[in-house]
Amino acid sequence: MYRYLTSAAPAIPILLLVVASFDSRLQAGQPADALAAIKKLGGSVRLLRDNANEWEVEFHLQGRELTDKGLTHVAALNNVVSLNLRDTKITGAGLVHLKNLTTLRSLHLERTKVGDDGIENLAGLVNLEYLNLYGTNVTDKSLEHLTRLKKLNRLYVWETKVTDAGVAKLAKALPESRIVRGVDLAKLPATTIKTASKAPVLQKWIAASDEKPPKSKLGVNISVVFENKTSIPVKLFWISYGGELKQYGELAPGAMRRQNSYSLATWLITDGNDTPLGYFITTADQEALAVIPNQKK
Amino acid sequence: MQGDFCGRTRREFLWESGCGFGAVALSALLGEDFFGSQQVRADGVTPFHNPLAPRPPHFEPKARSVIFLFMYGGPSHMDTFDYKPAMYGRDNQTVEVRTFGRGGHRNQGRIVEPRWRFRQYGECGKRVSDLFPYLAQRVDDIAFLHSMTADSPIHGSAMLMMNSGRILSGHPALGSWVNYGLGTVNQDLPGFVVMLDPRGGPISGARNWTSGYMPAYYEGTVMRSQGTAILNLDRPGGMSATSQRQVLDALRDYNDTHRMTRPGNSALNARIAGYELAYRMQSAAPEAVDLTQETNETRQLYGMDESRSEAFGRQCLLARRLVERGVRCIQIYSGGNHNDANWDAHGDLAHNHNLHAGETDKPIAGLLTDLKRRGLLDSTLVVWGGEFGRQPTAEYARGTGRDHNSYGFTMWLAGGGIRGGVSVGATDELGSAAVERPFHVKHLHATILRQLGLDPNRLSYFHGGLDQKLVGVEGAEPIREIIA
Repeated sequence: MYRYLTSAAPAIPILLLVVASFDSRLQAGQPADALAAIKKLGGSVRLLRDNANEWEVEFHLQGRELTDKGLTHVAALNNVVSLNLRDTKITGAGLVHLKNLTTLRSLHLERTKVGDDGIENLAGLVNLEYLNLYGTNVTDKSLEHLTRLKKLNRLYVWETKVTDAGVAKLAKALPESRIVRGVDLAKLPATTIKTASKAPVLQKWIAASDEKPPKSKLGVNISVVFENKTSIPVKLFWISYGGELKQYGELAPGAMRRQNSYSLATWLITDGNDTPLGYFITTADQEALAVIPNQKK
Repeated sequence: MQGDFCGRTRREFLWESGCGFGAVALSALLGEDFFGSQQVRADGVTPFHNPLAPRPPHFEPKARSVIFLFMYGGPSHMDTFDYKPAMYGRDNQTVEVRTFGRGGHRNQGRIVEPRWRFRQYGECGKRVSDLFPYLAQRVDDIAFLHSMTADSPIHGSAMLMMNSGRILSGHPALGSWVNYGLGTVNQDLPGFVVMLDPRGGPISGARNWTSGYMPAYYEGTVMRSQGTAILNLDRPGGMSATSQRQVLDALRDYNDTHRMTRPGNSALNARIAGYELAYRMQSAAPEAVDLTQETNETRQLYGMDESRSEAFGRQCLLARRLVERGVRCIQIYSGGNHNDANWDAHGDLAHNHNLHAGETDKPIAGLLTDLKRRGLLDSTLVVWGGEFGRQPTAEYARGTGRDHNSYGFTMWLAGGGIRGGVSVGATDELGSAAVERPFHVKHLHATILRQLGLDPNRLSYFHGGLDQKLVGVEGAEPIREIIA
């Protein structure tokens, strides 16, 4: 494409001037050097919404290599209301840089190396409404620093070392706060629908008549055990969704065989000469037993 | 809202502003993200668009992402969440009731008594049927809309309505509107992901996640939860990363030359941009779908330890991982293909709904639980429902099958700033039609946009002589009762 580009160099200074004005238009009020540094670290600084001087800063997508040092640039910004540091390489020591970000309403520290050291720096973030500490090394000691955060209504401490006692103490100090510690799967009630009955369910044998057996319909995956109680070898045919016969082998007298199938499938049973004896339409029970009864002569 | 789509890219902008090699080099130094975030071009006036660059919303957003759990085929409301005590003990009774389904208009029918018991759950005491024993544990996080209505009781048009707000094809899907309005914060993955039922896709296929009259880069991307995440994405065997990059660069130069003479061709621009997104996704997509990074406990929570719920559980878990990676809109289909492979219970109601509820109950409950404990439910809006509900009466002279019903049905929302433990609106005593506070699909759409920080009546795209909106040119208000 370069062959199309003819007029060249003179425009560069103009372009640079315009570039400078871009930044001031876009991120007015934020220090340019901090913005540039955050961008270089893979972080993003964005307006929370139109026409408001409120900012959200994120490192959890492309900026996960962020370390404590990088937080100095965040501290240089104004009016940060939301900060996401999930999965970054920060530690408790870096939290000192967040000490003065009192406009923060939402702070994500989950899945970082943050522990009890440094949490005291959050004690003065009185506008904090959301604090996520799941998957960190915090203990009850950290929770004691949060009692002054009267606006805090959501705190996440799943997969941490906090205890019932520590949480109860904080809940007392912050009665409006919802403290989420995850779920105990063992406490969830067992399912009440019976789908997989342990004993196989006997399938209905429909003896051959002039009426044509139906085609199979789509159903759920089940397992059928065929048992040949006749005195002759029989053949198993599956009647496909389109109505074609597909043979699934023979069954000797007295033999049993487990066959993968689907519910609402039609299984046609014939003798050795392909003369139909009868058929089964499988039910939705996961374990099905299809007994081919002895044929009366 | 975003002004015109002049379809120019960085290269065209440099070309048109009369710069040459020097400027090209400069642009390389500044990097993609610099220009990607610019709102005006070099003259300082003309808007410059990276179509997918993140944009500030109209309001402070409550939700950052939306997961739409689409129960394709139309789940029965009176058998799931809309308790109708008046129907019990009246199986096979003939009643006068006006219905309209695929079987046409009828004035009377034979009641099919719901096949499941309802029990009360949670602090709110919500009644939920035995179809959803796990999900029922989460009712305190859920807002139920019992008086939903839609314009069509036929699958194809009703699907388009639930996805794009219109019964005719060619309009952008909800996910396209969201990405148009907000852009995407993750440049390595698509902003709008669709996952289909392993048995097949829904009726009309890709028309349900099309970008319609919007540029093609807003279209949904189908992602698979198993095996290759995105088809045709892998580098051909024997090709190194370097040589692939060289091929792509050469191709891009040819494409750019081609584009110079075809300004404003959005489909072409999207296609060219698609090569670059695909290149970045080659590493980002496999990482996103790598569920080996998840613990056994988490897989169990999503029902991945049971064969019936394994597939949907895997998709729900993947949805959470995509939310964590900044994907704006994820749609998962439960049900596809035909007949009883989806929720369309025309034949045996119990067989059909036991199957589909059994496949989805634990995964959905697990998704809500997992989002909640990770602190993501606050910013993730989960929407559940089908294209319509089902009739209280039987479709045929025999059997328990119910026909379609767009006069009244249930959908629910959770998370993303939605009040939990509430139920709004009501159908009549048989569930045949919405009688109290009826909502249209556009009210649901308005609520979703509002929670994402977008004004449903301001988010517009000029097409066909009108400022088109997802909620229609006449607009619609969000459902305030369920907003926290």
